[in-house]
Amino acid sequence: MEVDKGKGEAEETRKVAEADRDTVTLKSSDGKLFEVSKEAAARLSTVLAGMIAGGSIDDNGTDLKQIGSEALENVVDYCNKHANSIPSAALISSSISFNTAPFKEPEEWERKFVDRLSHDALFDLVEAANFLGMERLLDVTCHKISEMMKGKSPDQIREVFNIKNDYTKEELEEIRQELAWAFYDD
Amino acid sequence: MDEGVVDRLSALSDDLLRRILHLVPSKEAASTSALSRRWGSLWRSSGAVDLAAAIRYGHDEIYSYQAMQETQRAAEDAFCRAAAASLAAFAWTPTAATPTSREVAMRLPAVTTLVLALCGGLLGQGAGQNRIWALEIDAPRLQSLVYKGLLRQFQLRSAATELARADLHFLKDTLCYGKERTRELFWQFVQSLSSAKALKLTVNAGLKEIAAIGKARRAQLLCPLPNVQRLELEGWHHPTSTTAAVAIANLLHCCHALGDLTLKLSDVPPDSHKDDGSYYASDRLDYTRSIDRFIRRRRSSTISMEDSNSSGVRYHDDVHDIPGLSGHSFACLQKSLRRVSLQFRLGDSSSSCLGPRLVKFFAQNAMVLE
Repeated sequence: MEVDKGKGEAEETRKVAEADRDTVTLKSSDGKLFEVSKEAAARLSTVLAGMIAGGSIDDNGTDLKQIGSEALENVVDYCNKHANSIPSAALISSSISFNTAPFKEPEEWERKFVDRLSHDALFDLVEAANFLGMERLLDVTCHKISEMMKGKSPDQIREVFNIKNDYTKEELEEIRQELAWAFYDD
Repeated sequence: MDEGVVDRLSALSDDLLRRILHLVPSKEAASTSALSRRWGSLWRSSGAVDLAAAIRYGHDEIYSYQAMQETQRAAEDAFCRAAAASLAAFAWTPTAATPTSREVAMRLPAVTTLVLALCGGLLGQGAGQNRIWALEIDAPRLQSLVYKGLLRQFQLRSAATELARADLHFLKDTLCYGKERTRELFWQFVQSLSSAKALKLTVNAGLKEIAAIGKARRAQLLCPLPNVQRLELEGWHHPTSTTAAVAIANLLHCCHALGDLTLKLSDVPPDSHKDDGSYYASDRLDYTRSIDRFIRRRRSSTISMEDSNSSGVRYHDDVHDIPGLSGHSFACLQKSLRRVSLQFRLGDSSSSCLGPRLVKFFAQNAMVLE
C-alpha cells in the first residue's frame, strides 16, 4: 500500500511518547493502526471531534470496528490531503442537514481522490465517512455515486450497481405510467 | 470499475440514498423508483430540486408560425415535466401532473413557504389556449403563500393553521368566466386562506369584479376571516363607479379583527400605467388636505356610535356617502382597526370621488383609529 504522506502509513507498533500529542491513532477492524492529525480529524469528523473532546481517544489505537483497513486508510489519506490543500472553511459542510446546506462541488483533488477508488472501495468509504460523521467526505463520495447514475435509464443503473429488479411486469408498468414525465426521452 | 456481485448501493441507509438522490437530476431521481422495491418512493423525500430541463425559446431561427408553436409546445412540455419533477421531489404528489392535466392536487407536508408565480399566465398565453384548471394544495404547515396568476379554483385541503401571510395577485384574465363565477372564485380563494393573519390582495381586473352586491350574494359568498389582522388591497375601479367601495365593505365585513388596513386604489386599469414614477404625486396634496379637514372635523364633534351611523346627514359638504360603506356598521371599525393607509391614483379625468369619500368614511367611523 503506497501512501504519499508518512502520517497515513500503517504502523504496527507505536510507543506513546508524549501525553499531549497532535495526532490520534485509529485502529481498523482488522487491527491496523493509522495516525492522523488531531486537528484534521476534529475538523473533518464530528464523531472523532466528539471523541477527542470527550477524552475517549485511546493512545494505543482507538478501535473503529466498523471500518476496514482499506477504508480507514482512505479516510486518513483524505484527512491528510485535505489538511494539505488550500484551507477553506467553506469546504466543510457546516450544517448537519444536507437538505439545507448548500452543496459545494468537489474540488479537483477530491474528484481525483474518489475517481481512483474501486467500486467496493468507494462504498466502503461512504460507509466509513457516514460512521465517522465526515460531512464533506460524504458529499464528495455521494457526488461520485450520483454521477454514476446521471443520464442513465433504470436498466443501466441496475447494471452498474447490480440492483436486482424485484418488481413484477405489471408493477413496473404502473410506475412508468405514474411517473411518465421521468421516463420521457428527451 | 469493479463489477461486484453484491448490490452495495441498495444496501446503504435511506438517508444516504436520499443524499445521493439529492444530487441526481430530478428526472433520473424519480426514475429510480423503477429500480426495485427498495427504491420505491425514496426519491420523493430526497428534496431534489434540480431542474434539469432548460427551456430554450427560438434557439435557432424560426421560419414559420407553426415551427414557433412547436418550439413553444416542446418548451412548455419540458417545463411541465421538469416542474412536476422538482415539485414531486419536494414531496408534492401530483396526482395527474402531466402537461395536459387540468387539475393539480399537491401534497406538501413539510412546505412552509410556497410561491406560485405566473400561474396559468405562462402556459395559457400566446397560443390562445385559455386553460381552465384547478389547484388543490394540501400543506398543513404552510406559513406563507404567494400566488401570482390567474383567478382559478383554489383549495387548501387541510387548514394551514400556521399561515401567517398570504399574498395574492390576480392577473387580468383573457378567459371570460362570467361575472358570477369570477366573484365566486375570488371569495372561495380568499376563504380557503381564512387562517391567514396578513392578507394582501392585488386585483388587476377591477374591484367591482369581486364585489358581492346585495344581501343574497353576500350571504352566499362572504366568509368570516377572523384571523386577518393586516389587510392590503390594491386594485382599480372605474372613475364614476363606486362599486369598488362595496368590495371594500365586503372585506371589512369579513375581517372582524382587522387592525391595519392599506388601500391602494386607482381609477385606471393597471396595464394602462405608463409612468409609475410619479404615481401618487399629483393627488397627494388633495389627499393631505382632506385628511386634515376630516381630522379637524372629527375632533370638533363628539363621535358616538349613533353619530357614525347617521354621519351622512350630519356633515353638509360636497362629499357624499358611499354605497356599501356608509350607514353600515363593521365590527373591526368599532374595536380593532387602528391604522388605515390610503393611496389613490387619479386618472386624467380626476373625476373620481371615491378617495375623499373613503377618507371621510374612515375618519368618521373608525373608533379606535390611531
